[in-house]
Amino acid sequence: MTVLRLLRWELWKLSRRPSSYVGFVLCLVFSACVLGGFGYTQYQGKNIQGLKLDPSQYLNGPFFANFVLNIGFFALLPLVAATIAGSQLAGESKDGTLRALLMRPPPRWAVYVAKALASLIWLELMVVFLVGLALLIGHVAYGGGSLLIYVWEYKDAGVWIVPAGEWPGLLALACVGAGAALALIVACALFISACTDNPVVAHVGTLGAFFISSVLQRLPEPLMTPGFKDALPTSHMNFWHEVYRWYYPGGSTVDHHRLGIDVAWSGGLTMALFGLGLIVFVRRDVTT
Amino acid sequence: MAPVLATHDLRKQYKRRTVVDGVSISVERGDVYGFLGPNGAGKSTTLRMLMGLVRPSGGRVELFGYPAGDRRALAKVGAIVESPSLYSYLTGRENLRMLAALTGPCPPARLDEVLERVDLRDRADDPVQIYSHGMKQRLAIAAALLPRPELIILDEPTNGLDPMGIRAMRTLIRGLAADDGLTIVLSSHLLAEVEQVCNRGAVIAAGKKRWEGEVAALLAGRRRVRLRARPLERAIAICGELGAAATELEPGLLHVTSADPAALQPALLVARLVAAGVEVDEIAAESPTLEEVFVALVAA
Repeated sequence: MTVLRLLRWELWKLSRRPSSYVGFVLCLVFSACVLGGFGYTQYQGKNIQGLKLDPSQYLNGPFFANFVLNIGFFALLPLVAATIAGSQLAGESKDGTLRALLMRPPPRWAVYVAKALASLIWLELMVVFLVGLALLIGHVAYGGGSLLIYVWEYKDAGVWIVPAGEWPGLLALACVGAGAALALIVACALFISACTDNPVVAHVGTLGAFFISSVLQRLPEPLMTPGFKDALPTSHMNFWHEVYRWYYPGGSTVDHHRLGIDVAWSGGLTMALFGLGLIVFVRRDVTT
Repeated sequence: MAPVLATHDLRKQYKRRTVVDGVSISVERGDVYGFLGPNGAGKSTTLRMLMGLVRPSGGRVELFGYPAGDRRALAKVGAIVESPSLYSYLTGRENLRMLAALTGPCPPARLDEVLERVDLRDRADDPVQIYSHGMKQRLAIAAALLPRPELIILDEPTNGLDPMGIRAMRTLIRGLAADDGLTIVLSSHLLAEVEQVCNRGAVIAAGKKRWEGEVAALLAGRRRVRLRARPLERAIAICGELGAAATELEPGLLHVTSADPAALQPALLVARLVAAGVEVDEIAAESPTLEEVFVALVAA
């Protein structure tokens, strides 16, 4: 009950804080930029990653929304996740309001759990907003239709079409999956946020770790061994892409083994970071 | 009766620096307790340990018989540690609503009640970011009063206030003790403030407790009278007859001190001096400064 009560107020505070809406504005700007990019890059021609296709076959609202989600997952949403979660403890500590929370009866662990849940919920809202907005923009710009799937990770499988009646479910699942994968970023930001009184440290630290891991993950094999790549957190954050394989025309081709490993890795690391953050937060001195 | 608040050999060390060093204090129900010390003496760190914000390096805290940070104890305490902790993007009323929810159910009428108590009802729906420092301080007190606490802890409540604000704050604190029957712990670096508001207190310097007891007793032996009179030798002799010691600090100016407060009553002194043919040019009762009290306590 205490956690639910605290969660309600944490969400209320997020909804009243003007800076909480910066992420929504960034989603709008990001979608507009992608739209602009669509107009002037290869997507305007008849070539998508070397595949000869008529743009009218795939360039529509659902494709645009899915594209924005996939690009946003690496380019925008980690930034938003790190900002939301990184401000939760360190931001309140810097403002002195953390004292007001901790001098009252709710235990510290409940405050921490409520803040973690509020960050996850707010982030999921942001993901849904980004996809919804992109869907709207895409529909206005290019119209509706079926969804053409092209996922870089599964490029060997080529492209496939999800019929108009089925893609809303797929996009909804993708939103939930992307949000779940980004929980790792939230956990990392919350952990750093529990260790410091400066939210900028949490923001920069989390994004730094994410981008370094992303870059290392993409280094060619002679430079980076597969074993080391497997140990990187970002190597296992793409598990949500498996939802696309459920909609493969010949029936689901979900790689359950890979999905299991990725979810275990990503989920385990997320829980470990949440746990570490909780231990630090419960034991730390509040001196600001 | 068990004290409302007690610390036993409380210590706090940050790396190799000792901030609080073996502080033991005891606050009884109904006390207005002054926690007096210069800036950096360890007052705020001690208060943080009382509220469970900082973990003691040694010793222990008892708040209503419970250890520091215990939920049952915190439910009976309202506190402001250092600056008021408020959300600047919320209104005064929203701040109270949110903070009240952390303690338990709070009817809207209670919000109005505490806002009225601190004279902020008219400004309750303004965002806190446009409040003056004094208004923030009063709103923080309103937040502390919300759960109907038995003990209020106020850390330097008059810091940064203008003279009118200081007067209003002192009146409010006196009212909380006299009208609401609350036990109050008030930290300050101003002896005059503690003298005006508190009945008991402790003096802390460099992390160590130097004194604890009745505030009146702390000042009793340290009051003095400033006296400018002619002839000086005759005035000194009369003071001696009254059991007071007079020392000439500068030409023509005496500082008269006595362990017996009766001997320092200006009216009595003037009457005796005039009767003995001494002309009195100036006489004024003076309280010692905090610095003087500290020097005396440390020297002792």
